[in-house]
Amino acid sequence: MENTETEKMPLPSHTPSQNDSVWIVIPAYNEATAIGNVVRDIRNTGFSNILVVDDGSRDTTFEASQNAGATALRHRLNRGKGAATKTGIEAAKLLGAKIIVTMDGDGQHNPEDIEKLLAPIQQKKTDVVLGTRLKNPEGMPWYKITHNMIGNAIVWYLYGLWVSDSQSGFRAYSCRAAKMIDTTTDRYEYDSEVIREIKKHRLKYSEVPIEVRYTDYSMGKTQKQSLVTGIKTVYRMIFHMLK
Amino acid sequence: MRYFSVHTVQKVPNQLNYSTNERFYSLLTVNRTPMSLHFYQIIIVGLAGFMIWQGGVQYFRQEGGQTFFKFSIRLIVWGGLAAIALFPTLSNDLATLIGIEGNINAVIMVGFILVFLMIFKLLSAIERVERQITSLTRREALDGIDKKTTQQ
Repeated sequence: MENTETEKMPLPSHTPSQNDSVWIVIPAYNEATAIGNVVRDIRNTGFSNILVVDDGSRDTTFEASQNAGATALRHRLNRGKGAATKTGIEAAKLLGAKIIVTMDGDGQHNPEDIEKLLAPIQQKKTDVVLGTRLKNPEGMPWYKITHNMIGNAIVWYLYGLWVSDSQSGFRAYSCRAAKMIDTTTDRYEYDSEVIREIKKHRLKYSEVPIEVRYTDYSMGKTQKQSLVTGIKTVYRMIFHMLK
Repeated sequence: MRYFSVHTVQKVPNQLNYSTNERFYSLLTVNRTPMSLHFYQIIIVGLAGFMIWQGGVQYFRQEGGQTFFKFSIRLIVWGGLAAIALFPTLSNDLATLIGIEGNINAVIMVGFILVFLMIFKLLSAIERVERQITSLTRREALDGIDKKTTQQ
């Protein structure tokens, strides 16, 4: 296992052919307000392969994604962030992706950071790159930082691997890693399960600081991670281990 | 039938007129008396020792997905088994200490364990059904992509 710091790593100059093999996967549930702008922002940074998985939304997330230029898939039923992310990764693999990036659909992740996540994989230094909010926590509310630190400690205790942001959804996977990582959980515990898989398959990983933009919209969402969902997530992680 | 005789520490016998506190402290009081071991005790202690040793090796070498959580569970289960095999009266003292000495309490305790097992089984079944629903939902969502890649 290798934990390589990549802050000082030079970014590769992207050619259109390099970006063609990169697929951005965005799980989205009731994100009609934000998803269009998120897709357009990503396209403006030079990535055209965008897959939005509408996780059974009751609003027009699916249509908004398609109108903004993304390939949209639809879950007929709401199955959770983990399930939607896995569907997106499976679809990207079918479409021949060499690198898969996952990010949130509420606009809290900055598309400018995608290149930072891609660099270690393109230079064949790692298999998985984890975007971490805690190496650059500026603007992050204190309770979010505490919540994440507790999450990290629980993930370390249950799965035996310490990472600085176990709950981040902004990650990049090489094709090899995407094939090896096999998750079974549907909801927020998915992010922690990926850490377990990294440890299990001894994948090389690195952590890259990312910017997080907390907006009124992202903070006001009803389906965001909270204390209650955090407790449920821990319960489900332990339940899965005992089965 | 006793096969071996070894010297080991043994606590003083329980006395029925002990208060809970006195009993608790009596657990700490030991004297040296000869203690004979049955064959089953040696087998259980040997097996427990092997399981703990194996888990420890896996944990320290970071092999077989052994985490601190799994290793601590292994230590508690096998360590507890070995302790009860070596000192059978320990379970009685424990029952006294946590207050399940009477028959009724034991029945209630067993009832709780049964209910817990039933709930666990139910949750497992729900989980299995949920996973099947997710699998179906995913297959349907990927249907269009599959057709598109097949046509290419």
